[in-house]
Amino acid sequence: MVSRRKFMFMGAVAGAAVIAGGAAFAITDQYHGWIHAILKHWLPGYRFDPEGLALFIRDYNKKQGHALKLRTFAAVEGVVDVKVLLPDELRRQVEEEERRVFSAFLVGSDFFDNYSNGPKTITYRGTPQACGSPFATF
Amino acid sequence: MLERGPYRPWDAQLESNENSVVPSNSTFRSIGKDKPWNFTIGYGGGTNCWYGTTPRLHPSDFRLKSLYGRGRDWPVSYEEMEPYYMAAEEIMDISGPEDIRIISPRSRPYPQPPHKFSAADRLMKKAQPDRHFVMPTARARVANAQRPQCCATFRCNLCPVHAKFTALNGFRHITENPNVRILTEAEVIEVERSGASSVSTVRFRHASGEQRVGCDLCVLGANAIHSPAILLRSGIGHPLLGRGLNEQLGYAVEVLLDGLDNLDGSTITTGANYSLYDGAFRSEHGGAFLVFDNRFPYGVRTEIGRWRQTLAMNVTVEDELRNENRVSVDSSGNVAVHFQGHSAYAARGAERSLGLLPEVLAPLPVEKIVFKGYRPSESHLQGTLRMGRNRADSVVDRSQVHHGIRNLIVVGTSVLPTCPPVAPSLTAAALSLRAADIAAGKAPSW
Repeated sequence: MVSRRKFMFMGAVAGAAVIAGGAAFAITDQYHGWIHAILKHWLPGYRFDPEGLALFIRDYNKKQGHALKLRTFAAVEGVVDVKVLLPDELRRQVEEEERRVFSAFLVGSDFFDNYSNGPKTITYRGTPQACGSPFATF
Repeated sequence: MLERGPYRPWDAQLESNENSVVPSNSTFRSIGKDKPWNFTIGYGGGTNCWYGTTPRLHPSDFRLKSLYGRGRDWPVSYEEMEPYYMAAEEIMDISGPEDIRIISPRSRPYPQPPHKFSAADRLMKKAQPDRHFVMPTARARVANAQRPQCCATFRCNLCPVHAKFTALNGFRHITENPNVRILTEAEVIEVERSGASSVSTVRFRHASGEQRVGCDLCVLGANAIHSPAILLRSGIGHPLLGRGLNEQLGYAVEVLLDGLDNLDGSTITTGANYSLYDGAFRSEHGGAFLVFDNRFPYGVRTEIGRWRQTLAMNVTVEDELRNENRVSVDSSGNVAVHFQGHSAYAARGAERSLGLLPEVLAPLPVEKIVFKGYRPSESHLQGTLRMGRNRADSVVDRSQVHHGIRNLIVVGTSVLPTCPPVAPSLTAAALSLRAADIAAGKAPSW
């Protein structure tokens, strides 16, 4: 996870692109554009059940709380590619966070039940509270 | 029994998403490096928050000085510990593999069968049958009367199905024994002496105010920070009291696998690799224990169809005790931890083990090994009341009785005289059973 402190710099970069009216978008968007962009990027051809996506974004909001810098970055990144402007270390941290987002969405969805059937609509059902590994065998 | 923290049922811990209402790092002040030291203040202590990883020590760990000229020898041998390891494993119903006796000889099989290897473990085992083993663990492989089978949730400090051994699910027969009284939220301030070589009362703080309770035999088992703090407040001095606070130096790597679907093991940690653990190199740098995880803390991979082609590893490297890493108390009795860092011996061990990982992992189709950084804590604080044969170089004797106060026994990881590469919990449990046998006259103290 990227700490709030480290997002200060990213916030500054993102802020430069979002000065006029963007902040309001950042708050109301609540990661939607950023997360949807991540999923579309790594799962081309797949569709995402809107209700499931909304549930995932609510879960992610709960986890991130008021990480304003992350929200701001995520909102702007959903519109233009801000990540390329970041120093290597921060860009690596953002990419790690994006991978965690991608992973949490898939693990909480029906994806691994039937991904081998090819592109389909993926439905997020919620973060598993117990026995949640889709890969473990016993 | 006086317990500083509250009794918190498992469901209350799950609901609040925390093991204790008292954050461990709020119980002391850090001086020097601000390093976390993790423990649970509450009934059951570390059995609440532990992940249940229970390897035995290697026989060489008990003879580090004799074999490699480093650290010190323990005042007890592996052979003497073996029946107590066995007893602790049976009490906690440990799961583990039979073939690990090559590393740590055993008199009987583990009570529970081993967990299931992951795909990466299976390749390692095939190539290194004498070095790679299923990790022994207190996470149930099969259900028993107290616990269900572990179902790979990967959140062991707050296991939602309560599949690992804890004091809550494993010691009900003790808490329900009418001869045992447990007073919780009773913070021990000090033990009070009745003469030059004995203590007679324990002074503690409770909701109803300060109180005293008498003791014929006093057993101290707080942890490696608070046990020495209690003795320091009690004025029971020793040049080494509170000194040598340590834990392993740990780091994490992610191994990206080329074409191998992994993560199909049956619990959070499935593999224990001893390739870099023991050998003549320990005269120069610390041994390393390689832990193969079956979880994906960095996420599944993002490339289409390669989701599972990853292996998360933790490497724990032995440290040497540094006297400047210590516990102190001020005139008000408040506790401070002075930590200056791990030893150069540990740092060299970490560097060397990282350099040798490609060679060790040669049986795997490795695409890339990614260093993920040093871990802030291994949650294994130990070493501040070290045990030994001589009063000059240890605080407690080989029976874990204080050298000067002969009715005071210290239990827990604070008595460990060195910092071997593996988790110390099982060893602390076995040592406690042995100390109890000696105190009861069932085992020799010499």
